[in-house]
Amino acid sequence: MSEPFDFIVVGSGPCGAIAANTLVSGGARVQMLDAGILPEDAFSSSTKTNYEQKRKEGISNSDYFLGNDAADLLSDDISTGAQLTPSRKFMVSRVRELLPLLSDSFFPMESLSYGGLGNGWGLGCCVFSEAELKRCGLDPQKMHLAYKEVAELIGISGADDDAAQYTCGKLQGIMKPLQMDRNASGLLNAYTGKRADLNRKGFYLGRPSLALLTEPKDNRSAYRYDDLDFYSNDDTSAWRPRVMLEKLKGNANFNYSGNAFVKGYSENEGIIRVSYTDLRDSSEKEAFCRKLILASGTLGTARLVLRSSEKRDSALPLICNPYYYIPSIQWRMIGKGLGEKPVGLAQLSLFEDRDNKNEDVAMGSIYSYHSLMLYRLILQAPLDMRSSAKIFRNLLPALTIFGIHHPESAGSGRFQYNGKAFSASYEHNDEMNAQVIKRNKRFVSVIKKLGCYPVRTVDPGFGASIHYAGTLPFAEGEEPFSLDPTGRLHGSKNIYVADGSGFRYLPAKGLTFSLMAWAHVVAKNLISK
Amino acid sequence: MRKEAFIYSRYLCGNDPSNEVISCYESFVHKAAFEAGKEKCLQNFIVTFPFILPVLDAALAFFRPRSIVRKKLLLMFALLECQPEHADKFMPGTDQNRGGVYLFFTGTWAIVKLMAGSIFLVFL
Repeated sequence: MSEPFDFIVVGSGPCGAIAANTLVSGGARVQMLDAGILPEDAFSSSTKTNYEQKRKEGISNSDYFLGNDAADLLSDDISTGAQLTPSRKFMVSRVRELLPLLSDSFFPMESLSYGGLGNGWGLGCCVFSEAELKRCGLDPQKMHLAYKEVAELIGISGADDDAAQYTCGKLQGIMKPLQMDRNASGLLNAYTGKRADLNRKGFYLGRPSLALLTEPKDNRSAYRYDDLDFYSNDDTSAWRPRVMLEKLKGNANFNYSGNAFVKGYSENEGIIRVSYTDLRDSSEKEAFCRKLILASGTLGTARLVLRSSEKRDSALPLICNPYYYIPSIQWRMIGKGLGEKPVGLAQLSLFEDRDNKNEDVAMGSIYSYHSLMLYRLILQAPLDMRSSAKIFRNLLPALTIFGIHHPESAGSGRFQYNGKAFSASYEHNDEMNAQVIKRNKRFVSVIKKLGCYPVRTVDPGFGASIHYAGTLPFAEGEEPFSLDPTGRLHGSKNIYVADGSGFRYLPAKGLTFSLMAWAHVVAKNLISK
Repeated sequence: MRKEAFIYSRYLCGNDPSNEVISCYESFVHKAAFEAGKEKCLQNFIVTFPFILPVLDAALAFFRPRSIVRKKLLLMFALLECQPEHADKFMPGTDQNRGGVYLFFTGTWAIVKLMAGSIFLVFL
């Protein structure tokens, strides 16, 4: 057996990257085991152009915009991940083969790629309120400090406006927000005119905080307004786990082992043995460490813990944010352009805080549908294609997507292993359904007040939010399949969980930044030991 | 299939398809493996009388949105949209400034085509 590492971190997503960075910064020797699936050309094609130029120049762009598989184009599949652009498809590569999940009510997106789901993260950063953190089972004091430290590390842009109490707008040192396109400006103007009325109803609109640089920082460039947010992977202005991992690879204390599909672990006399399959040749291998940090996402970690447990047929709880999206037309934008700096990322965030307590807040992220192709829309109208094309071409600058996330408490889902396959189920009782429907109606009413016509409310099903948590909830006693307040897995001595598995509650606000802060808290605590 | 590609391309963007578009179209149709024989009569009719395609497309969009003809049209639409030479025809441009009245007339004309096309569809 080779000299064990101080720590093994499983997973290279946002949590794994932050945990590894904090540990290495503290002087620990860290090995990262990661499936790390990555096509050779995933990050190599530099796109020093913008969406419009990319569409209009060169010979053909069908590989870039369409991919090489007609099945995707003709599929009616609206499941999570089915709509990824060709350059982002690697995120879900081999997932069906290696992470099969049986379910008819829960359709999550998981990733085995280098950087995990962080490759497609919408970059939204929100801070949970003290009440929300307590409901999650997190220590507010430690988390608020971690928010500041992680924000400093990754670089965040945003604004101190009406939404700042929910976003990172109040954090010190954040950069100025992105410039808005005309569509978003129109909405913000409409909000300003009706602000008092909307605030009275508990609605607040403002700029989202994004893990995106609007000024250069640490050899990373500022955002280029290239409008290729759904396509490009080479832009370092957006914080992706890859940005941090590439830097870490230059540190002698960090060892990245890709192609390692971790299957399980065992703990014996202070040494943890981690078994994995080398995806290059399917050989079975082992790695050793003193402390193990699981950061492969709520579902990935649950798989590992169940596979490694003697009580592997237990059912774990599961929570995810109910998610709906509402395509809407902003009347005043019909037939107009979006301006010189269109942006594909969320440009505005709309929060519903009915009691003004910053608890059980619902969040709507507002996007301009611009840099996605017409062929994705064309079949939505029951008209001939030429007429549809004419209509959608004129509607495109006015098309605004409201993505609504609802808060969620424990008790709705189950995640199970029967020794051969994993399965999941998710359901809401009538009361929960009614609550979500009522909240959606309130959002629709506000969308109308902002001068938009909501075309319909789309329910993509449970799991579409890509926000999952609660499989190993925080607990005071030594209950099996739960975590202590430091993230240690009960029943183990040196196995820690640095992703959302412990959260007992899921606020509707963007989750990723809080997951990263939690990973930082776990790693910092271990270093201080 | 080549003739079909020309008809669809002319209908959707008013131009003949490039060799690359034709080759991609053939490859996509091959991969899609549409059910052999299904809608054969309809597809032959379109190849023989291409000027009927606009009204048939309108009727299919309403009555048979998952028809093979519609799927093939979508394939061609997506391929043409990706071609730089046709980009202006698919992107919102500065030449537009067309508001609700334009959309109303486009929609009304589409309904007229639907009504005409539905007559043909009864016999095909």
